[in-house]
Amino acid sequence: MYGEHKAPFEFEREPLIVSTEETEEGIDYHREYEENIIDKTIFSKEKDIIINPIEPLNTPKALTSALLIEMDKPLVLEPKNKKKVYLTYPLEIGVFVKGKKHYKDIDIFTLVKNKYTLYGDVKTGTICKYWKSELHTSEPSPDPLHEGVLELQLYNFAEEWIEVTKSVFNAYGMVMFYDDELVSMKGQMKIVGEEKSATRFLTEPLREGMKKSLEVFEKKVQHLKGAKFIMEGGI
Amino acid sequence: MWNRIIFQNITVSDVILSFIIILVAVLIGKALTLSMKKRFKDKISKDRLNTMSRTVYYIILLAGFMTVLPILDINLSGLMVAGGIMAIVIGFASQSIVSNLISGIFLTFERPLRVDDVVSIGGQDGTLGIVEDIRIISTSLRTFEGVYVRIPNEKVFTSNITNFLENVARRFEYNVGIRYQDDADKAAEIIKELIEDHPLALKNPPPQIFVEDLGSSAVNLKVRVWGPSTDWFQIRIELLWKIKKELEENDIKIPFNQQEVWFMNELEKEK
Repeated sequence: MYGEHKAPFEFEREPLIVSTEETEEGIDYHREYEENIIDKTIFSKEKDIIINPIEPLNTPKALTSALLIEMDKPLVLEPKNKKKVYLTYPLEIGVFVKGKKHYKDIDIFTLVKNKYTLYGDVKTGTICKYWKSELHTSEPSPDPLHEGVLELQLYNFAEEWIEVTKSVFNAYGMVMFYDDELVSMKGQMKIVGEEKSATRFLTEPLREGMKKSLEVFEKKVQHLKGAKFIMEGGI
Repeated sequence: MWNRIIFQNITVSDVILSFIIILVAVLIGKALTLSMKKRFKDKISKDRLNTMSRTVYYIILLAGFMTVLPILDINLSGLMVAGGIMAIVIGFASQSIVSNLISGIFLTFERPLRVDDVVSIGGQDGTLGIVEDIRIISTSLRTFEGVYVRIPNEKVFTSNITNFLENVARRFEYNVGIRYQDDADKAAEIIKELIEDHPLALKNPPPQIFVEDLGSSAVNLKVRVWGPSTDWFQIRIELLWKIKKELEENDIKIPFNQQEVWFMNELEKEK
C-alpha cells in the first residue's frame, strides 16, 4: 500500500479500504477501517496521494512526542559493552497530497491498539505512547501495516551491569524508511548509569533501497525541541 | 508655519516630529510583537511569549518617549523632583493598583499558573476555568460555561490556587457497587480489561480495582485510574458508562438499596 498512487486507486485488505477517485478539480478520498469512515474532497491539480508510515504519535490524539517501548523481557548488558537488538514499534499510516511545494496530510490512522503511559513521576515525568515489544536478536518480519522494526544499538558506558526494560524516544528525531516488506528505523541508546541513558534515532535505513517516509512532526523545530530523549526515570 | 512657536521654545515642527517618533515607535513595537508571536508560537509557551512580546513593546515605546522628551524641551531632572512629590500622592491614591502590579510581577516569577492551564482560584468555592491571560494588573479566566472572569492579581496571589495541569498525570476514581451474589473477582477483571482497552487510561501508574467495603446493600468496589491531566475527564465519562454496560452484559448487576425486615411474631394469615 505504501508509496505514491495516481487516482483512481484502491487498496483493500479486510477490514481496511483506502481509495481515491479522480474528479474534474482533484480527487475524492475514501477510507474505511472498522466503523471509522472518512471521506474527503481534495481540490488539487496533482491527482496523486502518498501513503507512508509516520511517527506513531498522532492517534487517537497528538498528546505527546515521546514513544516508550517496553521489552517483553529485561536485557542485561555487561559493563563497557555494546549490543545490537531489534524491537518492534506501532505504526501509524499517513495519507498525503502533494501541492506545488508542500505536502499536506489528509488522513492519519492506525491498525494497532493505542495505549499511553507515564514515564517518570507525576510531577516531572512524560506522558508517552506505549508499546510492548518482543526482544529480538535478529531482524523480525512483522506486518508492515501494523508494526515497524527498530534496530537499537545499546552502549553501556557504565561501570556496572545494567538491566534494560524499556526505551523512550523523541518523535522529533524519528526518521522512518519503508519498502514493500518492511518499515524500519535505527536508534541508539547510550546508558551511563542504572537510572540514566540518552536515546536518539539515526538517519539511515536498515536496508539499502528503502524509501524515506514523509514526517508529520516538523523537523524545523527539532533544533529547539531536541531530537534526543534523556531517560532519567529508570531504564 | 513650521517654525511657529506654540509653547515656550516648542515649535509646530517639534510637535509633529515628536508625534511621528511616537507613532513610529508604536508601529515598530506592534510589528515586532506580531513577528515574535508568529515566529515563536510553536517554540515558546504562550504565556512566556506574551510576556516577552509585551516587554519588547514597552521598551520600544519607552525608547520613543525618551527620544521625544529633549525635542519637546522636557527636562528630566525637573521631572524627577516633581515626580517624587507626585509619586507620594499617586502612591497613596493608587495603593491597590500598586499592590496588583507587584503581585503580577511575583506571579510572573513564581508561575503558579500559565496561559491555557485549568485552575481554580480561591479554594473550593472559587473560580474554576482556563487561564486566558496573565497581565500586569489582572488575570483573566474563561470558565467552563464560557464566561469571562477578570481577577485582580493581588487576589490571585493571596488566594489558594489549584492548578489541574501542573502535573502531567492525575488520578480519578469510581465506587462501583455489585450484588452480594455476584462474583467480585469477575467484576474486577471485567473493569480491568475495560481500562486496559481505553487508549488514554495510563498503563503506568497501573489502575487499582479492589473491594473497599461490604455495604448494607452492595459489595463496593473501588476503581482508581490514572490519565493524562489534559484528558482525565474524557476518560472518566467514557469509562463509567462502559463499566455499567459491560457488568450488566455479564449478569453482574448494580443493586438498589434494600433492607430485610423480620417480624418478631408470625403474621396471621388473612382470611
